[in-house]
Amino acid sequence: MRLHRITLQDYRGVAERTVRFAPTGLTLVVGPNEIGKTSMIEALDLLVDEKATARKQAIRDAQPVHRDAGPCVEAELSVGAYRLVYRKRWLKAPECELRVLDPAPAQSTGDQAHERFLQILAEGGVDRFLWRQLRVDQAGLVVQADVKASTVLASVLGSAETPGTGPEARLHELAHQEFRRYYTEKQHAATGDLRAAIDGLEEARAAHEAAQRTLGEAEAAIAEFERAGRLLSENTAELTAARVELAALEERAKTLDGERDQLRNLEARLDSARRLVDAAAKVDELQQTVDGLAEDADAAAAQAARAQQTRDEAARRAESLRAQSVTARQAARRAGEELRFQIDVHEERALGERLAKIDKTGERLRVTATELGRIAITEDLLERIEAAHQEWEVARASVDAGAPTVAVTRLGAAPVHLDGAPLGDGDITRTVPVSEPFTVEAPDVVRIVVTPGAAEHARRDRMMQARAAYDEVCAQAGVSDAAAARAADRERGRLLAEHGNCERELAAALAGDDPAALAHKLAHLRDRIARFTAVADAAPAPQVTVDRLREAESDAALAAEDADAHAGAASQQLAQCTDALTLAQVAAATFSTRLEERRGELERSRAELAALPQPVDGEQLADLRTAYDTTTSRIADLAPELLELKLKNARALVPQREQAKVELRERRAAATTRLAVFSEGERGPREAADQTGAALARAQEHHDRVQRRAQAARLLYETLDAHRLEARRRYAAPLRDRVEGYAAMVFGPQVRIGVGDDLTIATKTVGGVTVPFEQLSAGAREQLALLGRVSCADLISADSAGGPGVPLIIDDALGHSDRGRLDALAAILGAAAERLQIIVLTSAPERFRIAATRIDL
Amino acid sequence: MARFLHTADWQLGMVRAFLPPEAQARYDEARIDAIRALGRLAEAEGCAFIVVCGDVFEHAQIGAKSAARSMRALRALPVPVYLLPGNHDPLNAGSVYRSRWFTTERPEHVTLLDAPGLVRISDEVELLAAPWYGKQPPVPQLDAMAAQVEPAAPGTVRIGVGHGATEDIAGDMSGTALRPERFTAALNRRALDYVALGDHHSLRDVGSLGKVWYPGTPEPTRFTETAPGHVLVVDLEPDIPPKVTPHRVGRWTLAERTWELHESADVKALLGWLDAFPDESRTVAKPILSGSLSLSDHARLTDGLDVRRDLFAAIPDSSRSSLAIRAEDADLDGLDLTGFAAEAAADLRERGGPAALDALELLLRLAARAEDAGSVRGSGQSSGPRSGVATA
Repeated sequence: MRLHRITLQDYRGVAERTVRFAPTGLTLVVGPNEIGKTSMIEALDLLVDEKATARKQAIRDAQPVHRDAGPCVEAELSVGAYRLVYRKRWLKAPECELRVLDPAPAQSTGDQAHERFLQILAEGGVDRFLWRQLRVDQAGLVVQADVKASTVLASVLGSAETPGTGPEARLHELAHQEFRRYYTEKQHAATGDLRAAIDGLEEARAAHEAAQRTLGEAEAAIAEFERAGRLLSENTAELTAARVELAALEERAKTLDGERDQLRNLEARLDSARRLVDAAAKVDELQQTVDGLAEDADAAAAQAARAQQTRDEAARRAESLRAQSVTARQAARRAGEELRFQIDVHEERALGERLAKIDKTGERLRVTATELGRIAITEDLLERIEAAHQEWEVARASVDAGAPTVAVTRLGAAPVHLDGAPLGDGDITRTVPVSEPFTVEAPDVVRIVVTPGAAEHARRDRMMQARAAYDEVCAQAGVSDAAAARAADRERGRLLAEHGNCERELAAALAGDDPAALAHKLAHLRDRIARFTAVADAAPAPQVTVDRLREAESDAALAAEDADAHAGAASQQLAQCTDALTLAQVAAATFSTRLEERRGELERSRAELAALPQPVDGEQLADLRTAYDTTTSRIADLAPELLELKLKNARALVPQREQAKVELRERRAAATTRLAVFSEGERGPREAADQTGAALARAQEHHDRVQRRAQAARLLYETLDAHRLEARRRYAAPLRDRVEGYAAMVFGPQVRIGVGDDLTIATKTVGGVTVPFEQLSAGAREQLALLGRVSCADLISADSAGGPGVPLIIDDALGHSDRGRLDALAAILGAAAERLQIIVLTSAPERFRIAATRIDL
Repeated sequence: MARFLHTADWQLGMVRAFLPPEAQARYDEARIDAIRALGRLAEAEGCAFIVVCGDVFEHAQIGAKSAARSMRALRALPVPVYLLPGNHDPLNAGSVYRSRWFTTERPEHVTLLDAPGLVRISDEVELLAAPWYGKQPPVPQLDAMAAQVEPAAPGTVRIGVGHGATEDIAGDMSGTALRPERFTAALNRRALDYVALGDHHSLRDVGSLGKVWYPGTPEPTRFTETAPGHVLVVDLEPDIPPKVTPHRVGRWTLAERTWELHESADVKALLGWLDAFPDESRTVAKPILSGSLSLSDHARLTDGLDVRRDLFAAIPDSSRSSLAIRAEDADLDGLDLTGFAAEAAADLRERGGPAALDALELLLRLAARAEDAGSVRGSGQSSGPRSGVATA
């Protein structure tokens, strides 16, 4: 669609105004605020949407305030192949006129014109909805175009269906409605029909179970009643039979009792005879036993007396031998002690002498060591002293032999001093070797200083040095000169020899022993000797030799061992005798006791025998036996054990059956009571169970059917929904590419734009930071909103140049944008204007630096 | 001459699971109505008495409502009535016949045949009754009793009144079943003149003797019954073969039929079968389905059954049905699905299985609905999704 011209008449404050737009490119409509720029666009909407006869508030608002005239709008448009002029007047003399100029001129009025115009729009594919959404005005500066419902845009986006509208959306909506019949929106939980079916099934199941229980109780009651009745009749029969049986058994028991009395009587008499014989036999037997026992007891007593005698003798002998043994042992100990004493005495003497020698040798060693310590000379030192002495002698000779001499002779009385010392009277001439400087002075006359030459100095120094070395080595050896050194060395040699001798002697005396240990041993010996001497009655004569004493000690020990052996043997024999005695005494006592017991028994048996009745004769006894056998046989015929068991059983059975009869009657009565509840016709448990069973089956069938439908609804809805989501994702892609391309020009090449399912710009991403549209600055939002609209318009126009495209109208927008962005947007709009009709209404034309057809209002 | 009405198997209190409560109520009422109808028939035909050969009640114990209605219907019968306890209502401890309401409210002209043996009910008529006391047949059963009784006195007719299956139809009960040859023997020696039986729910002349009859149940109870809904009017004279006239009193129909479905013509035939029933509100029709249908044909079938369910007493699903659904290109092509809807349909079709087929069928319906809605907007003409379905 292209807008060529619009004319307003009596529209709000405008009496008449015509604005012509460039058919392509950008038209810049400039005018101050309140001049009626926005009214112009609003008028266009009224023209398209409202019938001439409409009296809506929006129309009444368009009426001029001070003129009684109806607002009138006329527009010249191109739609598809048509070029037309469309005009409407409202309120006063309403009219509607459509003049088609091309391709075939035609004219219509009234509603017909209105309908025809809408038809032409539809034929031209003009999306009125999109047309409105793509408009940018001040109010909607930062609001994005809501284009998702546009079928035109949808078709441009390469998909026949629109995710939001159209037959597919309708289908989706119906599927959703169907889904919601059975499931909740969010949780997909059962609700509505499905919930009711599930609940209904549960209720039916519960009701049926309850009815089944009741039925079970009723059937149990019937069964119980019948069972109780059957048991009762069975019991009655059994009771009667039991009573008859009991009576018969009682009769037989009575017979048995009579027979048993008879038998007991016979038994007593037979028993009495048998016991008399037994008692006599027992007395005889006991008498024999007593006699035998008396003999045995006597023999045992004699044996015991003999054993006593033997034992006493053994005791005496053992005592004697023990005394001998003690004496022998004492003698042996004495001999041993004496032997020890003699050995100790000898040893003490030898040890005392040895220790004395050790002490003496030790003393000599200490003396020689002290003397050796005092001598500093060694062989080495002696050699060095001799050498130094030799050297000094040589040097002195060299000085004396080589030096010049000065002879000083005093000639007069005048004193002459030689080195300060006056030359004596007797000493008129003195020859002095010039080995060192000296002065010859005659006071007040002359002083002569004689100084030796260099050779003299050297020789003298050498001599002095040799002397000093000789003195030093003598001092080191602690001797005055070489002669003394040689004497000291000889003394040292003697002392060393002496010291060696002493050491060898000491080692011989010690023989490896420790002197302290030897001294201790000696003290011990002396102590032992003193002790023996103190206690011994008489010390043995010292002349008795150790060998003799050793022999005596050995003899005494052997004697003591012999005596001990004899004493031990005797003691053992005594023990054996004592045991034998004890055994004999016990045997004697045992026989004695048994004898007494048997005698008592014999007395009692004799008394018993005497007390028994006197014997019956043999014939009577035979009769008794025959009678006894007959009675026993009769009793056996009566089977007394079985009879007793039967009787016991029959006696227990009758009351038991009687009790059972009472109980069963009660049971039947109870069952009757229970049964009455079900058989009164008030309830039909089977019928009720049938009904609940039928209801359950129906509920199950209903549930299954509803559930199957619910599952179908759910599967269909979820499948449709999933595919719709996918379609929308694909669908938004071209729009996003277009917006992103434009955004790159405004925000830089790195910008990424996210477009949502509803075809609005959702996010802007720069440098990895994603910001939702709502959180962007007002400037960025209005820029993106504009870019979104340009992109939409672009997409439509790109599809078909003369077709569904609509003018892009920008009304006083971009107040939030800076110069740089404005220029970038201007460049985009300028480029878009080559494909689109763009109309910019503004009071600030400087915002849009674009080549445009400018119209000043 | 004795003329009487022979009926059995009223099964009062019977509950049918396939009936919804409303239909069940009408079915209950119909069974009571049948008693009234046979009462009117007895009066019109001049019957002297009515013999009910067992299973008067569905259960040994019966609900209050059933009891009250039954008692009123019994009371309204114009002639003496003889009730025989059968296997459903045996004379056991909890029997309906021992309940207080029956013993106190039993009308004078209603007699319970509560003891086995001969009962003389008038100068010229004797009954030989074999009532049931439990779930097992009575011992001796009627056939055995008939073999033991003396022939009827001259001028007297004797009617055997029994309940139970005869050997030829008893199936697994054959060990205790009634033996027709015994009846033949008894009839030949005039120990019996007519054998009135109950238990079998369809009208039947046992052995085509014309003397041993099952009247069947007066209102149908099962789909397998071949001739339910009758009572018999019997004219009986000594030494003359009985004249037995069946009369229809039942008004309900229970029908089942096997259908193998493959194409829309088959669906049409099935729906035609249903539409041919004259009295849908008293008809229970059970189609047993097999074969396989396309989605659209299945949708048509489901819609067709759904719309008729409100008309019929019931159209129960059969557990023996094994109908499969198949998705065909034609099903979906006709929809002109595009975009995500087409993708979703392809997805479901690829997925296969009953759930996906159900979903596809739903898609089919919804698409039809959307189209209808669209056409409503477009043309202003209404065509509901179920248009074209005949409504009675």
